[in-house]
Amino acid sequence: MNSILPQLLINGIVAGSIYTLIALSYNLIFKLTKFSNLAHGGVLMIGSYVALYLTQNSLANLWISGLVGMVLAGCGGFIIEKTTFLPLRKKGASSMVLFIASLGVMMIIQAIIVIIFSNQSWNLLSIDTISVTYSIFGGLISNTQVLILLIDVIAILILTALFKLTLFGKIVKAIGDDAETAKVIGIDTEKYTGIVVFIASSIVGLAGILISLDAGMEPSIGLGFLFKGIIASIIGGANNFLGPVVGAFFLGLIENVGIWKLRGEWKDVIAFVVLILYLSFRKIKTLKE
Amino acid sequence: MEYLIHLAILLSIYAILGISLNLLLGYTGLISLTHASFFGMGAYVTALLLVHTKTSFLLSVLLGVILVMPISTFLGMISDQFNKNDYMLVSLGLNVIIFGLFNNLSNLTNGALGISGIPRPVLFNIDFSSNSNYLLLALVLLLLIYLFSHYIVRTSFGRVLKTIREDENVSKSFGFNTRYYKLVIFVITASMAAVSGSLYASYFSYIDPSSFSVTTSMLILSITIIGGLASLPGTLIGTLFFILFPELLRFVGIPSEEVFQLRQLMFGLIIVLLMMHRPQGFMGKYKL
Amino acid sequence: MTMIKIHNLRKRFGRADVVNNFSAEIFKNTIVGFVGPNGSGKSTVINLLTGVETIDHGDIYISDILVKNKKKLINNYSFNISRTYQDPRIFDQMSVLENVLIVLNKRKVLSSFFETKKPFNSSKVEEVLRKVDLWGKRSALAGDLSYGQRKILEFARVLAMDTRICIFDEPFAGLFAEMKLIVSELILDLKASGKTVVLIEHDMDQIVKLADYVLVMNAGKLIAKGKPSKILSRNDILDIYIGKDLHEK
Repeated sequence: MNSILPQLLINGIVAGSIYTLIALSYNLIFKLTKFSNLAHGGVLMIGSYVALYLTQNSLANLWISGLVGMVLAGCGGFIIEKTTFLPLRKKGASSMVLFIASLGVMMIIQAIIVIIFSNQSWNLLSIDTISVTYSIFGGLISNTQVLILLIDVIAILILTALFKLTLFGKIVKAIGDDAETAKVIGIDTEKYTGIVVFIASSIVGLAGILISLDAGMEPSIGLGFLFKGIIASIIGGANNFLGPVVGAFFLGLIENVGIWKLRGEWKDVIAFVVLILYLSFRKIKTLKE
Repeated sequence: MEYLIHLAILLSIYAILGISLNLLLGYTGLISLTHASFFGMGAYVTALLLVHTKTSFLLSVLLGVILVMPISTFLGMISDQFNKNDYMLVSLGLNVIIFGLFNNLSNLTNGALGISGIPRPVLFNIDFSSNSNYLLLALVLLLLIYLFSHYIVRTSFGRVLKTIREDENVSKSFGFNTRYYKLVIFVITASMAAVSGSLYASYFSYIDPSSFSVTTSMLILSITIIGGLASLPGTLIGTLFFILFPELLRFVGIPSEEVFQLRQLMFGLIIVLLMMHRPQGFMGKYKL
Repeated sequence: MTMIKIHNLRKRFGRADVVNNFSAEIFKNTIVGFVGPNGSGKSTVINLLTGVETIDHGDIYISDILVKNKKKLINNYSFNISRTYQDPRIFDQMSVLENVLIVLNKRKVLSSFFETKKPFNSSKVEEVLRKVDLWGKRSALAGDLSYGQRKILEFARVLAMDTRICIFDEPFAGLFAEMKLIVSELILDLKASGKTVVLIEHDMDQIVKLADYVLVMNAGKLIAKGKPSKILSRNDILDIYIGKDLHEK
């Protein structure tokens, strides 16, 4: 019985690291655009499938494919923002309109991916990639998973540095807090939003690539991963920059430990139960005040 | 001809779903991504009862509704505690949870393997194994639900729903217990979705959880929005488009595997364009 | 008889006491003018009175019943109050007719379920809409109306509601002269039929014409009350509106 817990913890941490990227990037965009953007899940898949295309057709090695995937995901998110959400926001569209528009975009992206790549699941690593597993604290972790964790930590550090320590980060925070005032004092909010969307989109594209390295990617799960990121960012606390990170690891751990006694398919259920419990407690707390 | 009957039956099933969501979103302004779950509950109740017992079809429909009512009451009550943004996520979450239950409570639902061999009903000495008879059954149910919805919309009750959509606080200040109104319409529409589920189960004779997922919820939402919010005829048109579009694609020679993806692509595109230029949908009376 | 009694009302937004120990009495079947410069807290007092905001401190009695508005917002309807807002809150995507019809609806879920449009109360709606000259536009969507028409519609809705207490927040702003005349007549009619009217206004001509007495508010406090002609000619009152230096010049 005790031998499986460390494994679950490791799985939880790996899952959490992927959720972190999704949660952080989602939160960055949410702070600036103020609506639940489902297209972000589509952008996640753009990153993954671009990398797939390149490696499958032997056009580039793993690292280059990953990088190109990130960049193109960033471009994808950027284009979507400029062609769809920005014009809508300028028209004064409500957050529900934006949400539904993002749903439409997500449907488009998912459909295109299935048409080009079909519904099957695939993994970025080819079968003959050598996989080494290490034993740690009684559980097993593969070199791929170690790589995922490393990339994740680097990404978190870079993002934190960028958004907490630089002037750019402060400007972005100002726009998120009060866009009207920011405009009044001369900040080009559209430009900064565009840049943040690009960065966030490439990060979520990176998440997609990491998912494809780990468990594999298929078109139907992009949205599901986005929801995990959204849940993580809510329960971790959207107001704190690193809140989503905490939420993501918490979610990853609780999902994987939670299926100790249940089968693996209960993970999604656990995630949403956690969300609903959290929102309920938060509501009860505000009612008491 | 047989094929047309098949399409007409599909139309009836999905139109009922579309109408239920239109009452909720188009008239009351509540977005719900959980209705596919109620659709599924109705389907599973009918499936289990028809396969394992000698219950009649209509009774199974009734029991499906009876099952859905308390569950949707409970869900409606907790959903009401959240603001709009959180509410969308909560309703989505509930869909995922119930989908998970369909998938994992294998002792009851047979999990991902689904339930097969669901028989067609035999009512009033008519055997509904023939599709043309089944179409009659489906159309009757659609008609009843359509007329019922049409009635609701014309009443003072329907008017209050619209004010909830427009400005709930002002509506409350006029003395309307808006929480109660929202709950009632939520339960009514959930029950409609359950009826549609029963129709679905008996028609296809096989169901599995994949028909009741988040994707289904989103498709129903698309039908409602494209057809037109707060327009019951609009929902019929939207459903018609939903059913016929793949046929059109097949007609021009697109292979069957791609047809549904192209439909999704088309629908996604239409939704984006509608949001940008005509947020009320084609025949809608309400702009988001 | 006192219709509304306000006692030591306090409301804070952020670090400012927007309403600061405000006390006043509003007597039955009078038209009360409620004046003061922008930002003096008039709208907030009304919001506290009508359940748009919660009370921080103090009491409000309506018809001698204590308004329990500290945790939960009250319901106007149960206190027989109807009001208009500075920026009209009408139902944009419903027709003019429906906007008025809604207040004549049955309130309970079950009874409203069985009440269909045709038979009930359309005569009352017609009467009210004709009074404000909107009957011709009854099928138009409320959102398509001009600003003045929207204000009138909200006003008509109050007429239709027929409550004991009617509160109007700047009803004359944005109206043409002819319409202002109609509205002022209608307000006098309200008093004639026994109602109590509270009128927030900047248009002093209307206040002088209509109000039985005025309450003057500044910086969250009540600073004067009395007959309009007397109050509004006082120098200190004029000061707070125009600004001391300008007046002295």
